[in-house]
Amino acid sequence: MNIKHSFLDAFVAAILATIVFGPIMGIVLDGYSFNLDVPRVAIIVGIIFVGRFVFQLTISTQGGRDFFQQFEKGRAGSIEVTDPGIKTVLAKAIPFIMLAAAILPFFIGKYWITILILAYIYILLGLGLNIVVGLAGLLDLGFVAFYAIGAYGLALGSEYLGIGFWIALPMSAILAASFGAILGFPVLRMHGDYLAIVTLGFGEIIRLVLNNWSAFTHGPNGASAPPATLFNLEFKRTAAEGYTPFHEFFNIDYNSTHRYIFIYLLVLIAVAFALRLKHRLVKMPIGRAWEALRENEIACRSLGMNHVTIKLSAFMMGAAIAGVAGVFFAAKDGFVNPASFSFIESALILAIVVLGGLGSTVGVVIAALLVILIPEVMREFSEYRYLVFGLLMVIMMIIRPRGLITIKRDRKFSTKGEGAVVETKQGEGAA
Amino acid sequence: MSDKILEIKNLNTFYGPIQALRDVSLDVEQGEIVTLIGANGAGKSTLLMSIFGNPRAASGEILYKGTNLVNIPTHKIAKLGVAQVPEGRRVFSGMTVEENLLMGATPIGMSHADEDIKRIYEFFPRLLERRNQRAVTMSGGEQQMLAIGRALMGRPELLLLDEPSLGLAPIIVKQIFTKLKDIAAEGTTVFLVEQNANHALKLADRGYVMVNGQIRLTGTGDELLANDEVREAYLGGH
Repeated sequence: MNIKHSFLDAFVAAILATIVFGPIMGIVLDGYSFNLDVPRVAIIVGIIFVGRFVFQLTISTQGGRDFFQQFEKGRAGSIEVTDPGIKTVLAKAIPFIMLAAAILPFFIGKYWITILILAYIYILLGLGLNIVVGLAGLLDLGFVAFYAIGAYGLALGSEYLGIGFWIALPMSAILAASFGAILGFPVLRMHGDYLAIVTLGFGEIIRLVLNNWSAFTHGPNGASAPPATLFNLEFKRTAAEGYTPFHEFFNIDYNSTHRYIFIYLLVLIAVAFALRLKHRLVKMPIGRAWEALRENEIACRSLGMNHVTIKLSAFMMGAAIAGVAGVFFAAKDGFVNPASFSFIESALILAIVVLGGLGSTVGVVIAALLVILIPEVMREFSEYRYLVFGLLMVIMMIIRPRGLITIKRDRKFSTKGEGAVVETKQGEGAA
Repeated sequence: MSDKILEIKNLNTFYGPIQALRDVSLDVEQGEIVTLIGANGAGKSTLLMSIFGNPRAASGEILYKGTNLVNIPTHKIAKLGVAQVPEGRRVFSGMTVEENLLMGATPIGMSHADEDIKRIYEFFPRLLERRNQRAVTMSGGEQQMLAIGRALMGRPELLLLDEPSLGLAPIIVKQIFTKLKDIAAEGTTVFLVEQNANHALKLADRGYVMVNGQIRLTGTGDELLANDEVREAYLGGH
């Protein structure tokens, strides 16, 4: 126990806290003058002082060190390799989880249904970005652009071309994928930070175009989007000319929740499809190529892989999924507006991917649910909820730096069986 | 045509304004082990990279079995039967050994992959033990074996190696070089770029010495080993 050292350390932290929080929290504007609110700063600084002191004391003991050390282990190369053929508990539980998710909307109110729809949309977005960032290792900060293209694909498509939800779904995916290719070409030679900046710019360009090209997109006023239909049955009290409303066809009472339940189920199917797709892709040559590209571009090229097609396919596949998510988003709200596609959305999607664990599918699902649901659950903290949310993220990255679910690899050969035979031949190629 | 598998004529390569290779000419015959030795920065790696079109040669010819590679895109060169073991191994560190090997089959497709993987495991039994392990968790020597195995998965006729001895213990270097001899004996031509002149020249049928982007000397491995200039410069002479 080193109390003196801990005290000094905490004291330095408290001074830093005063510098950081003093002006922000201590000076309260009052008309043209300002008041000093010393107690507020004192409380914050006090909390930081005590917290730092306790933390320092803890890590100066053996038990405390051990406690924090266990988080460090996750940091360096600890990817597990699982044996093939072993069905994880999760794999067995998937049908039940899906079933539970499918009947869930019939038991919860409209409010929670819309929130869950949003969460599922973010799962889609997370899965899409996971291909680009998690698998192919291309840091994309403008992913929201493809989401916007999908959403506007439905809204403007119905306005100018008269298409409905079901045609917009594949069309927006293709449109977003083409934009993915357009973004992909100029950034083929870029890596890391530079790539991030260019994609950030791309995201902003799309938003600004949507915002300022009023004649086509109606600018900040936004555009309305048609809701989803079930075989031409509309989810409205009274249908448009020549259409039948859903409730009349089935002879049930009109309930505005039906529309949301319907979209909920559609998004759920889309999520299931995207999960399956991701699951297959990583086992296919293209999935391996994405990962290989992330690991080492030079080695990839020397092995005869065309880095152009690999990168473009990653961008396009991710973009297409985001496009689909965008259509659902537009259909859910019945309205799109450029404000929904600001940079913070891209950051949020990236946060989902990183929190979940790069490349991990299950992680993305859990992280998307957390990221969307936590701020809702914490409504009672009102304006502080994003502060709490941010804190949770920071703590999370300290505790599990590789994300909630660390990616596991499984391969077609078991370590048992054939591998065991080699034990006898050992020594020959010993290194 | 003679049975030259690789023939480089008056090759010039630049990095921006800096000329890295000056009028380099050399040839490698079918089934030979040829080595290119030289000091750090002499241009050895640049030459290997130029064969793969990255950087592209500014002038000159790189004839592989009579085909000029100079204007062929990098990813197509591997499909012609040339494989490269890049400098610093460059294994796919997060992927398992087996996945790394599978990636190596890219140029020829997956049809022979299972059979070839077995062959590589017989050749490097160490890799079989580690098949489900991530590449990054292996020792340098094992990673080098993996990089060579990965290149062999493409069934190359010409194997290019860039400093396979880099950062390895002498005993491991010896093992790797023995394996290279075996590879050549099975009919794959080996072109080896090395700083470790002693090992490389003992292994090679013929050698070239590169200084400042130019070929300075050439001869059989034994001739070069005996050459005073080579001894002085690369073997810590006596």
